Amino acid sequence: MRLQEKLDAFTSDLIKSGQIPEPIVKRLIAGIQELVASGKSERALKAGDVAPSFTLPDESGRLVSSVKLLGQGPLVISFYRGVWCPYCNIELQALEEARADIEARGASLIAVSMQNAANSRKSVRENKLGFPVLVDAGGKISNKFGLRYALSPETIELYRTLGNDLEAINGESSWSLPMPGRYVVGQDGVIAFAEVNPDYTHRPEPSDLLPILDQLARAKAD
Amino acid sequence: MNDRFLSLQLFARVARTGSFSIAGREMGMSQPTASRIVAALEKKVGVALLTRTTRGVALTEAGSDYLIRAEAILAALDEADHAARGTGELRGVLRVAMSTSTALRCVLPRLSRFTDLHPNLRIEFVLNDEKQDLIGDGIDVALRVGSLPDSSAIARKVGVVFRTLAASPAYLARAGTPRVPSDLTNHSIIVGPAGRGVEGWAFKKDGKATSVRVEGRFVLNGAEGATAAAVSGLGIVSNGAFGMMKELESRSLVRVLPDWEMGTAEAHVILAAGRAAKPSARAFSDFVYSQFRELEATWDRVERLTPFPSIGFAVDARAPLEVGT
Repeated sequence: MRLQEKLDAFTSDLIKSGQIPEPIVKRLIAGIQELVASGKSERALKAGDVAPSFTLPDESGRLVSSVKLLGQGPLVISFYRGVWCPYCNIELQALEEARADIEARGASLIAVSMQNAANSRKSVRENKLGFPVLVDAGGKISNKFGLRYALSPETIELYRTLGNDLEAINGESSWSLPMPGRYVVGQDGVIAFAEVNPDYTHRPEPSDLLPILDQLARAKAD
Repeated sequence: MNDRFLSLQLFARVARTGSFSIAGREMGMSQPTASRIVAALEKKVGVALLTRTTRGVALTEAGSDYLIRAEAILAALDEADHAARGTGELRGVLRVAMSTSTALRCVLPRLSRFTDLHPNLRIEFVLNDEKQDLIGDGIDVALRVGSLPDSSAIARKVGVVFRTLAASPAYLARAGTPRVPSDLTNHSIIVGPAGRGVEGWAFKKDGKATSVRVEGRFVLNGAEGATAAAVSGLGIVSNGAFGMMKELESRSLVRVLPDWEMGTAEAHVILAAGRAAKPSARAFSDFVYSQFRELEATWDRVERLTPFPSIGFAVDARAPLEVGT
């Protein structure tokens, strides 16, 4: 099953189950539409831009350096919202399934969120991830990629109602999140692929990364 | 000095081209003669209008003011000649600049509608897919897609052009049709002038921003060449849809990833001398404007050829939802 089919099935089950009252569903959709319409996704870094380099702690506190990983091969980075977002969890699981194909092409895979180490450990544990989940405290790196945005007062209120207390989850009070974004960075530090979608119910297929990684491998062989 | 107007004209050309020899050549005189005439003008006015450096000629502050007034006088004189003829007939030389595609596909096929009315008007075309130096090249009217010069020039929007990918049906039959932008990495890419130096192709669909770094297998410095390469089945090209309209209509090219938007740019017709533009420049600019209005109907036809989505987000098409658990 393709990732987007899983996400769509989740959405439709959730609406059918009535788990979330319809007025809240409507407000959540309105929030997404507002973010899409803001055009913020176009300000994020794109293919052809130089990726910012970073060193961030993973879920266990070990420092992971993008420069070091790029020394070994291309780097796939997935910016996600947090363990409280079921769409992010479904995506992380799909990336874990694709990890062998990614690594077979000489690339490494990492995920980055603004949540604290304990919640990052929960992401790894609950989704059975074999790749590091980095802690971007305060969203400094998300910001450098042009992904971080401040939630609207309406969305903050809605998230509080739903129990998504970002202050507790992220360990800081900015009430900001990265737009979900997936990047492939070549060993020259230049972004080879980027997809940013403020509509967090839609994520690119992990298998679509493979032609990009194949091309990077071919370019290296030349 | 029998001809004050000649010296004003010369001064304006020297100021605009930054060169005594270019301006002199344009007016049929040697560089020393041009230099002497302008020096005499400065003596008469009683102030230095130009500074001469090893890198060229630049206007002094007084020279800048004087140039604006002088050009207004020259334009008024042109205007007076034009009105006196009473026929609306335009004369002299008009220098226009545009891309080769715009000239071949839009302006030249329709030009006789304009020039038949003005048998004594000569038009010099400067065809270049790169940006022209309006002042240095002595351009009267330019057609330009994208960013505008920041000067006294007057720009009028003539339309919006959108970028798209295209390839020949034969190429796609052989190499396959990309479904998503990342598939482009498996394809032969043709890069035209707009894509040179830009390493990423950026797309939008349903609010998501997707971009892929592409490596041109064939790199051409002219959009017509890039289009011809695609028609020949060499690969996938990124070009203004307008510049490929004929090929898209005849199906010698088909759009690739048609529901992924690559962005739009505004096309402007520019009067380089701004308010001091001569009558023929104004008339040509009006002509181009009216022709583009007519062409907009054909643009719509191309957009209908393959679906081109409006920017937006369809809620009823799917049910996006945020959940907290």
